[in-house]
Amino acid sequence: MTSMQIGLSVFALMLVLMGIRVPIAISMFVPGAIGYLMLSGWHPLLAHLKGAVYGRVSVYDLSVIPLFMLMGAFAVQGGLSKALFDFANALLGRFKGGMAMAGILACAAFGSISGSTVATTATIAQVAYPEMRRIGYTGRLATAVLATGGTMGVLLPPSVTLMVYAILTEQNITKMFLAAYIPALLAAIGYLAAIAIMVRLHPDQAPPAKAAPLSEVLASGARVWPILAIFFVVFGGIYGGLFTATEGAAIGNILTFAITLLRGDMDRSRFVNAVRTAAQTSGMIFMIFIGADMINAALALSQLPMQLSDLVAHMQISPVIVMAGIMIFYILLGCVMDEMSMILLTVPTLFPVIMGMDFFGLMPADKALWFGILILTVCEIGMIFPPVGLNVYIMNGLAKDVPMAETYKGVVPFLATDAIRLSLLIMFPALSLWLVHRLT
Amino acid sequence: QEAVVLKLHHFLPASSYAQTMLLQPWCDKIAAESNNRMKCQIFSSMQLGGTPPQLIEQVRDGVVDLVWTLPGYTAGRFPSLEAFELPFMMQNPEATSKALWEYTQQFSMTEFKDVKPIAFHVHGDGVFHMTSKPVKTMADLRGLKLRAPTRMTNKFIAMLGATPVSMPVPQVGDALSKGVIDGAVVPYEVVPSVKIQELVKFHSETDPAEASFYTSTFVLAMNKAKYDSLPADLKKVIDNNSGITPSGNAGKAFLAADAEGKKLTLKNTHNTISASELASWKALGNKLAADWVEEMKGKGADGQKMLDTAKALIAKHAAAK
Amino acid sequence: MNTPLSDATPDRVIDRLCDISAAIGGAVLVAIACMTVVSVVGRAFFSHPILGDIELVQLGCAVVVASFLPYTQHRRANIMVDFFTTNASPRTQGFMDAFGTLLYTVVMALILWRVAVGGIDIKAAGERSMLMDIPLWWPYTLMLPGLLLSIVVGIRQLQWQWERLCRQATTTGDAA
Ligand code: NA
Ligand code: NA
Repeated sequence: MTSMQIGLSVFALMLVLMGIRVPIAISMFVPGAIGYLMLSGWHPLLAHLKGAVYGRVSVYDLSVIPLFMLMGAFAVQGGLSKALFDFANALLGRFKGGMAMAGILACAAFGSISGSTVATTATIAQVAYPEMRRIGYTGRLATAVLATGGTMGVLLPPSVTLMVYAILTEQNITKMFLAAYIPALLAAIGYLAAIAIMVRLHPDQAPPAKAAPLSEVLASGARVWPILAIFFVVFGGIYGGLFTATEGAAIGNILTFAITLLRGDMDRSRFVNAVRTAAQTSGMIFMIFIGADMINAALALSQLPMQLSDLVAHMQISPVIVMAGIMIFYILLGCVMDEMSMILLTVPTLFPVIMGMDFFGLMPADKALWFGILILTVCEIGMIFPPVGLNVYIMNGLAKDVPMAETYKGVVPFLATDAIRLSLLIMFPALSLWLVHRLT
Repeated sequence: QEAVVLKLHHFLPASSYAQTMLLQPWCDKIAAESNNRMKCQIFSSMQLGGTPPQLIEQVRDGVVDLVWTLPGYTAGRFPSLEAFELPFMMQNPEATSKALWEYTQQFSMTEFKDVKPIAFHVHGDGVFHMTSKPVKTMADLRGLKLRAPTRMTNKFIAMLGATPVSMPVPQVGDALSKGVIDGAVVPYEVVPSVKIQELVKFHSETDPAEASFYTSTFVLAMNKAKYDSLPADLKKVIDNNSGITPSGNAGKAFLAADAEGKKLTLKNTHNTISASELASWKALGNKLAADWVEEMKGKGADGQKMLDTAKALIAKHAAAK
Repeated sequence: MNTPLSDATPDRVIDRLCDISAAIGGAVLVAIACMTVVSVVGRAFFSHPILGDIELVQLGCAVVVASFLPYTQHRRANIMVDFFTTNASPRTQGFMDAFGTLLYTVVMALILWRVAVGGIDIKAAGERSMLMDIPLWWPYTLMLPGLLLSIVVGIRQLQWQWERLCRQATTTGDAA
């Protein structure tokens, strides 16, 4: 077999294994290991595995996952997240779907600093998912909202994925960030609109709108100040550059634990339950990372992403079709890769192709920024695109009572707005470039 | 007959000077000299997985055939090279790289016995790249978080009063943009690889007449079994492109890359730390060197002899220029 | 809270061990959080953080994750896609689940073996952390108990799934 055929077979085997109920992490790991074996041999595979797993689980940036999982579990066990949601619901419950909308925005805010789609969804969902269910959202809508919201951080500055794209393509980071604001805003508008329409067409998906009396708002507000204070310290500190996301998570942990303890809401059994929850979800997420790492290594070795990019480059076809092909290609890659791996493996080959083609007579610098926005938008979509999307899995893993099919049904409306947004971004490069031209 | 393909793995992006000015030219050269019977397949940005410190293990174990990396990312593994990473050793990267190659033949062969070193080299002048204020004196560093590459540089940064944060180059951009660090010590060569010019405002160099306040050592290494498996004529091509001359050329390429990288930073503010200010730095540097000699003694190595040899070799190659 | 496979002694022991492993991971995680807070406070107020706090987080994170893995598998929280098989018979699903557990166990065994070898090699190479001078084979070694327990959990689950399949075969046979 050629390396490209091996790469494709790895992909196919993964889909088969996923189809027959093999855990997702293992469905990625096994074909990855077999592919690696065929491409490189036993010895390199065994040598690769010596360091790969440790390398994957000892990443400073990823330490936020268990830390935020534990913080969230403390907040849930100590009743803080219930207090927060009672307050938010008192404020937003007058709008049908209001809490779902708040969930999207919370994900966006968290995602832009956490640097990881998966970490964002897992963290927010830990706290928000049980509460959304409690106040009457269906599993379908709640999981879809949180899985979709988590992807927004890919595009929203300061995004490490955008930075890496800028570095690989030698673009200015500031301009890259500027180009991303309007598309990110469009994403938010699209998602909020999707929620608004969905709860109108299917009123059973969300609790009925109920205006809370002012007294209830104030009463729930009085209980909620500690958690607002924690949020302020943790996220203010991270956004302000006072400390890293990991440090923020550590501080948040200690504060959350201390406050629940002082209020008498934390005891031994709740503490144990919090640790168990954190263990279960972190273990699930890191297992997927380990599996994805193996299959990514095999795909990189097979040069499948590079060769497919090359194939596109040498087809004598119109730019529009090339662009469409690239978009589909990324959505497929999103099955197995996180956004960073996709960018690292494909941009070096695809970028020159795009730069060599004419799109609306764009200047090279504009074309590069525009293409970056398109690529990252599709990466976002790939993370939630059925039947396989990394973020959908993670979300579904956190919501054990919801069948995967329900989550898939839930993300369809969001994907519809994504499709509209992507078409707009392709047809009107000004949406990405206007702010850049205006401010630089 | 099919061409031998050597998988070369490294941690910088494909657009980095390290790839365009050093690794790609080296690969082109072995391809040309072998009539295209041997060529590289370069995997940049750690595309094949793992972390930068794991590169050396990857080439040792044959995960890949060639790596280019910093031995200093793996503390404790290559103590002999630390002699070159002590403060104020390097003045000219080409001469120092040649000296480094010669030095390794004498002191580092046990440490590198599991791989085939192709070249050893150093980078040019270290520069402080700072987000909020320039470094004019040691006092300016007080309390700041600074990224540094190797064990020796981390220790020196701490002696200067800053808080060292150890991380490989690829993480520097993210760390600077999020305020995790207030600055980084790297040569100008790295600038485009992390877009430092857009993330900091100040670049503080040391007096060019003085030796650099730090440098890092690099190695281009090949898997031993892969080398042994080559037919004699291809072995010869590798041999012809290994050793002191390619090492010196690598140092020279990095000096040229520094000049290119500096051009990208011109719209930022530059300053030079004066020779008089550096006097107190050197005293600290000497203390660090003395500590290192002691530490080597504890490991049963003659640190003093290693340090003296390093200095003598650097002087010899600098004079020969 | 926990649901052991059965009340049989081996299952209760495994259940207990998974709990202990998660608790150890949790303790390390809390220690990481405390250390980080101390370092941030030291940096903010005394210009004196813990030198090497970042590498401690990295080393600790490896131990935390490995200690969490058996608990995750014990609770069957390693997510899978049930989308395509919801209409399959319980017996077919049972076969598939046993196959998945078998692959999981083999993969974890492979990982355990390679991490152990990796630790031995790192020890031989004398690699240490940059600022704290901690031998890097320590976190490798501390990952091993969690990985080993994951395998034990996998084997026991496999055995249980297999026995259930056999029981189902008998009952179907009786019906026919
Ligand atoms: Na982001
Ligand atoms: Na997908």
